[in-house]
Amino acid sequence: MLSRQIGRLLNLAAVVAFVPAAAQAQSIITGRVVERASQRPIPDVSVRVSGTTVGARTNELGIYRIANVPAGDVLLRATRIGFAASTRTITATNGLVEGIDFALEPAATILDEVVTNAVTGQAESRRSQGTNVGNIAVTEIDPGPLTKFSDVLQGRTAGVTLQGTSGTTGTGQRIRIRGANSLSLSNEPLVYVDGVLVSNGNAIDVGVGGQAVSRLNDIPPEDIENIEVLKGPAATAVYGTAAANGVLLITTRRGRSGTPRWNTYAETGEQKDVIDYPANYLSYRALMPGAPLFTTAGGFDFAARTACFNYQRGAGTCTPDSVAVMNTLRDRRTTPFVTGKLFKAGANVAGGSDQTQYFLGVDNQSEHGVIEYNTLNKLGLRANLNTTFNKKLDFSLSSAYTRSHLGLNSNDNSIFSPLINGLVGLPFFVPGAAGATAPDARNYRGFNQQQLSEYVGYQNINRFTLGTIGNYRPFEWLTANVNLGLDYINRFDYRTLQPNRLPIAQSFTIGNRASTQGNQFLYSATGSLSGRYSLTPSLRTTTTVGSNYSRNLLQTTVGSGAGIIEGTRNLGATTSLFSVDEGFFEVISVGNLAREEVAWRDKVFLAGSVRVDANSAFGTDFSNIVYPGANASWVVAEEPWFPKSDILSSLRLRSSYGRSGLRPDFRQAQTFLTATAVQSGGSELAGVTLSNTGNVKLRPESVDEYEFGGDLGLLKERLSLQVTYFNRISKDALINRRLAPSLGRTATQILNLGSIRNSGTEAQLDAKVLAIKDYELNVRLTATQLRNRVEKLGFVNGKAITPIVFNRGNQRHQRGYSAGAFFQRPLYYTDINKDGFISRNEITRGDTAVYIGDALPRYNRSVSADLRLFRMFRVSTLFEGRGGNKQLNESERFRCIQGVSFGNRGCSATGNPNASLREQAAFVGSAFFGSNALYVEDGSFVKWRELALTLEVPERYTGYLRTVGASAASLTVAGRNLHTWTNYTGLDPEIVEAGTSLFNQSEFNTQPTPRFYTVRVNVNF
Amino acid sequence: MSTSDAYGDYQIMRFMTPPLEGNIRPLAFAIGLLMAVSACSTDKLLTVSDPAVAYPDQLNDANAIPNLYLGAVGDFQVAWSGNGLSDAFLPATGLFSDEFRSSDTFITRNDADRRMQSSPANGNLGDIAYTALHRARRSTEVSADVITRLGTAGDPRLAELQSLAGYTYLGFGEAFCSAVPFPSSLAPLSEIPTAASITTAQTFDTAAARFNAAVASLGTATTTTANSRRNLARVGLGRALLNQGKYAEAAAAVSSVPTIFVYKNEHSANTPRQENSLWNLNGSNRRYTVSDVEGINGLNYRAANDPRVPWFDQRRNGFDGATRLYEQLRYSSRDADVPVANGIEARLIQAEALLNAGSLTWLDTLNALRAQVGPLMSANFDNYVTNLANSAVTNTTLAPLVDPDLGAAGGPTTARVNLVFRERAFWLYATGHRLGDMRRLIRQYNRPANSVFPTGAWHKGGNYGDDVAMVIPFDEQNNAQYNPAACLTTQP
Repeated sequence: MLSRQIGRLLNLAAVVAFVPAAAQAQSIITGRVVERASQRPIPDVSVRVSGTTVGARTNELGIYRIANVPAGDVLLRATRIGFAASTRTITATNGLVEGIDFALEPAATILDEVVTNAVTGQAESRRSQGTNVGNIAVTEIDPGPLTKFSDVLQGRTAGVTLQGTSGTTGTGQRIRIRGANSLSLSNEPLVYVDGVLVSNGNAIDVGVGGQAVSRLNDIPPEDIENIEVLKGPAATAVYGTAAANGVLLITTRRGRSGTPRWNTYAETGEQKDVIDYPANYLSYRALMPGAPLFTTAGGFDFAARTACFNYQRGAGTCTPDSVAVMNTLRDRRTTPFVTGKLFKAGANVAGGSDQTQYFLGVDNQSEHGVIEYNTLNKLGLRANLNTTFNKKLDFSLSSAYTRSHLGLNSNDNSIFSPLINGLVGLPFFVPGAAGATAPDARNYRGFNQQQLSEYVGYQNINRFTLGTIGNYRPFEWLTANVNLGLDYINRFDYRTLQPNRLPIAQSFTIGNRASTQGNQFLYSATGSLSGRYSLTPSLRTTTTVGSNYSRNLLQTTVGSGAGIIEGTRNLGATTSLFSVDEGFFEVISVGNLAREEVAWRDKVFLAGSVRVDANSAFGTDFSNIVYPGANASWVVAEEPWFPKSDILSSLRLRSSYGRSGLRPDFRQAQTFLTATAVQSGGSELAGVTLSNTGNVKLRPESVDEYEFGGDLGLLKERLSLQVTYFNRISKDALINRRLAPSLGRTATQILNLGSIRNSGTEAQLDAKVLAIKDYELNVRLTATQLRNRVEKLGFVNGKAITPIVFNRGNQRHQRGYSAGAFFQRPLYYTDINKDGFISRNEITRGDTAVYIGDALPRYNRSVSADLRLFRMFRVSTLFEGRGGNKQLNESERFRCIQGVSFGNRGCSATGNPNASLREQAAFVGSAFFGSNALYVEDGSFVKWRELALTLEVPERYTGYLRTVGASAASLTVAGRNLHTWTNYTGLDPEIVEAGTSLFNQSEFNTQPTPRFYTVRVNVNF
Repeated sequence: MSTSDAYGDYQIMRFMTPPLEGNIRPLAFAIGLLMAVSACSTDKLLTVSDPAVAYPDQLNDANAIPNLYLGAVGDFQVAWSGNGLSDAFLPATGLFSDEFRSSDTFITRNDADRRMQSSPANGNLGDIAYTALHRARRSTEVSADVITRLGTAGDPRLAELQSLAGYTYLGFGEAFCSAVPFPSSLAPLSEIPTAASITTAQTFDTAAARFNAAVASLGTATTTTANSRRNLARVGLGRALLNQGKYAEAAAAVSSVPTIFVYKNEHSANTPRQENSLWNLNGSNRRYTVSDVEGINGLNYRAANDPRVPWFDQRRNGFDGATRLYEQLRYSSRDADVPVANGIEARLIQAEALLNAGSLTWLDTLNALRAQVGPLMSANFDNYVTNLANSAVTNTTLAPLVDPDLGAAGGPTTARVNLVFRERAFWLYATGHRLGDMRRLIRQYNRPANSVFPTGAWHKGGNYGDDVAMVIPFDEQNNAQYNPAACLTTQP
């Protein structure tokens, strides 16, 4: 009852605030939309007056209400994903026009969706676009298995590869759309939320071993209505510099006219680490039988026993008498893992008057990961408002606030990683002292959980995103659009280590504190004018001109100190090793654009655009760049001569070309020096040191892409097939050219030298397998084949740039190969004496590094299905497969080598008498021949991503719900990351260390993806 | 009428949009607006003022000399013995020689310790020192050039920078293979110069030229600072000449340098960049441990119980969890200063020259130093007395040496050379001299490499390799004139 009263108040407020606007309304059209066969009402149907921005969405009862309809004959078009569009022509008169109902047929086609261009502000129907735009209808996805925003993107649409870089709660992901364009710059797409350019950053300024966070995951999935994926320059030419990696257009939920509609949900769940971790091994020979493992001083007693590693055994230099084995990460006495918890709850209300609609939402999430001190608490608030003042003026406001508190344990390349401490643990159990709260540190590489829990990095976020869009139509043919946005992020990263918690270097034992306070302002502004006119009755054109401005400003203050006073958590409480710095980043972009579209009989569409961009990050000798674009779309099946067929019921052919770019990063064009402290004569004085070797000719990477394909409707629109071929090539690719160290300058200089090509095919099949009264089964298949190739790295002084080697010498960018491909010197091994062990004499190594495989996946496939039964049950699932690439199993390589270095531990390859010859050879090859060739493994996998079972309260029982004021309710039981099929022998083929790196494809003590189980209750009022 | 016929859309559009002739003006208006927008200057909109950096043009001014000078000194400190946990010249050469052993898990440190470096593409320990030395070389030469052009004559900062540049050449000559290239430091930043490799001997020639220029730039100035900088240059010159086997010339160069003279890298706990990296690598982070008879040939730095090498047993293992951690106490904190050149080295140069000249007074020179071990060590190393008291070394004095070939004619017999080099090793322990001396033993005294460098079984398994010089980093291959095949790391 309270919610209803609040809703009434909101409606009243909306009406009162906009009375003048309501007074100017022309006519109002209302009606109901139902499914033709079942006559069941269909919510979320878009009913729009064709050729205008006037429209509305149906509510849960299928009812819509459109205000401010121009008088005269109008065409209404009702569209919704999963149904064939339907149109009705009516005559609007001043006043109320009722009963304009629609009955929709289920269909898999999506030609009639409307996409709003975030730069021009104009609505563009999919049928007029010459590109393949991916669409993710988030409201159609069962939210049960969705733990964060990025889950929404995974496996939903062709061409998008989402790689979870870590299973640690609060960490991020890599998003790659149609491959990777740049060797040096971000390959992440641009992100717009309700027309506002928002940050997709991943920064955290306390060291957590290479893990990255994600600002994209600030957005609760529950707030999202729809995501459009513009996959590359062919679609993003008007988005200009920085759009070459594609654009995500995220639309959040909006209000609908009518009584307030409350949706509430609560979700609880668990997450578990289910990885089959490898055991630690040590083969050894007792020198002093019966002697204790440790000396009285606490160290391992090497005098009492000596390790006999497998390679020594193979060489006949040592024969063990014992084998110790223990799985530190799985043994219940020593495992660091706990059952993680997840709790989410939220509520939103949508409603409004004919003129004004609102959406208000609140979402709260509390989570701790499979490491207990990995925690996340997040609160999200959203308020969206749409209002139509009159037929000439409408306005929308989007606002969101996020507050989060993230606690991250270290992982990846960090000695404070719980994984590395277990993977390089002793193969013996060492009981802790009486009363100790954690196992003895000697069980681990160096630190037990108690100690590691003292070293947690935190990040607090306060983020406010505000966007306004205004449309003014002074004439029927002319629309002016103004779009202003601000994404403000206040970030506070900090960590305090209390004294005497970590027994390592002095700066740790005396305690320390690090903190970074930062503010990021991402401003965006767009203004455009768009004129529509008919050249002939069958030929209409739309001309758009506009300007676009964005400014990304980041200011941080970074401080650290050591020698902290017990119990304090403040830089002011530190006593030594002070460090203070300010960070600064600012990039401004300005673009002007023009676009011309021609539509012939609403079947043939041609469009051309040109955008001219200037950017503060360009070199001083380079002023601006031109991005042209053109596309064509032909709805062939609607031609009168096209044979009508139930088999091929619709066909659209499309083709597109476009160019967009990637700007250089801040300061890359500049040669500059920075201040440095120098002690001279006992005083601390200021010196300067060269910090960047710039390039005044620096210009953006420009990426040209063409694509062509077709959209087919088959079997009376039961099947929808989209097939696309694309080919894109980046020119002037920024190469972070390594400078010869003898120059005495900085390590690298950015030059426009390279060229990278990405080509491939995408296919997406949507099938209405079942669509009868009480049974509905929808299936989606996506498949992407991708070929990435470095076409050139360029020449300097007539000499080809040497391959760019990275990731500890394992990967390289080399002309003629995929970016980041694995190269190693080949290893050949054979067990000559047939003793089951590989010694150093049984391995040979090639002298030259050879190509082993790609780092980038060559294919990505997914299958999702959604089954609805008896209007009560819903079962949805998603499988995703990816592969054709290699992954470096650095976790195993490192722990094997470390074990031998320690002399008292090791891996299967070094201590397991039953170890395979290959794993032994991998170790020997790496440890003694400097080649990691055998640790580079097939990274292909298939994952069962999601399974959700939902029970909706049947209609006949909704009476019970009404007694508590509710109108509908459902219960969902869901699981995520349920199984992995792979030949990869490491921890998880999906994760990578150093999540912010561009091409690193090694798995190194990174938390694998956990399995989630959730239970969720939704109640609508 | 309800229809799914898409024709309906275009049919209705004709009602909503005016005919063409009515839209010529709006179209012209739109195009005109676009042209107007495009014509707007974007320069002001794109202006970004960066408060955090200085541009080279701003520093080509006499007012910038103090900052340029200090920046160059700082770059040298980083290259020689500084920067957090960085394997600068001093620690890296100590690990490669017999001064330190690796107590680390990092492969590059283990490879350097066992003299079995990897191919350049995989990266090696010496990459850090090589890169930092070149940065210091360029920085000191550029700053020296600014002082020459815009400063005043006789500025002792010029001599200091020229000398520090000379020390970077010494570092290359003593540590790296005989193929280091030296592109011009003074080339405009808009250009990327290249250079061919020069030999080790040519590198020492260049070093000597820098030291001679430093001495010359001071003229006849006799201020305390000028005298100190002159001594810095003279010790450097002597070291360059000694590396070329020009013993008499070397002795002459250093003859006027007082024994108590010392020029130090001033380290500080102020920022990680200013820290003494050897202390970080050894005492604090436990990556290096003090050696004792490393690989058969190494000297007995711990067992000698010598007050010049104070050390103590940390009673725990190093970073690898397996190698005992022995901490040197010449540098007992992150802000411990490091002597770059001192009067002790001048006397040692003279002693070696006397030995090679056939004089029997070479031993007197050594013994004169030994008689002053306390004062000299205190002058060169912070908190020496306290550190020695805290160490495992019980001797506080050094007994006079006896000629191992007593009665024999003067000249560099094997035993006498061994003694001179042992004295150098102990006096100059952990100051970046030992690797150069070991290579000199091969190059100038015809010792087999495996009688000088650690050899046999390495302490973590496997055997020592054959490298006697550090390899040049892979990135140097971006210098079009550099030929990696010329870098022979088994040659002295």
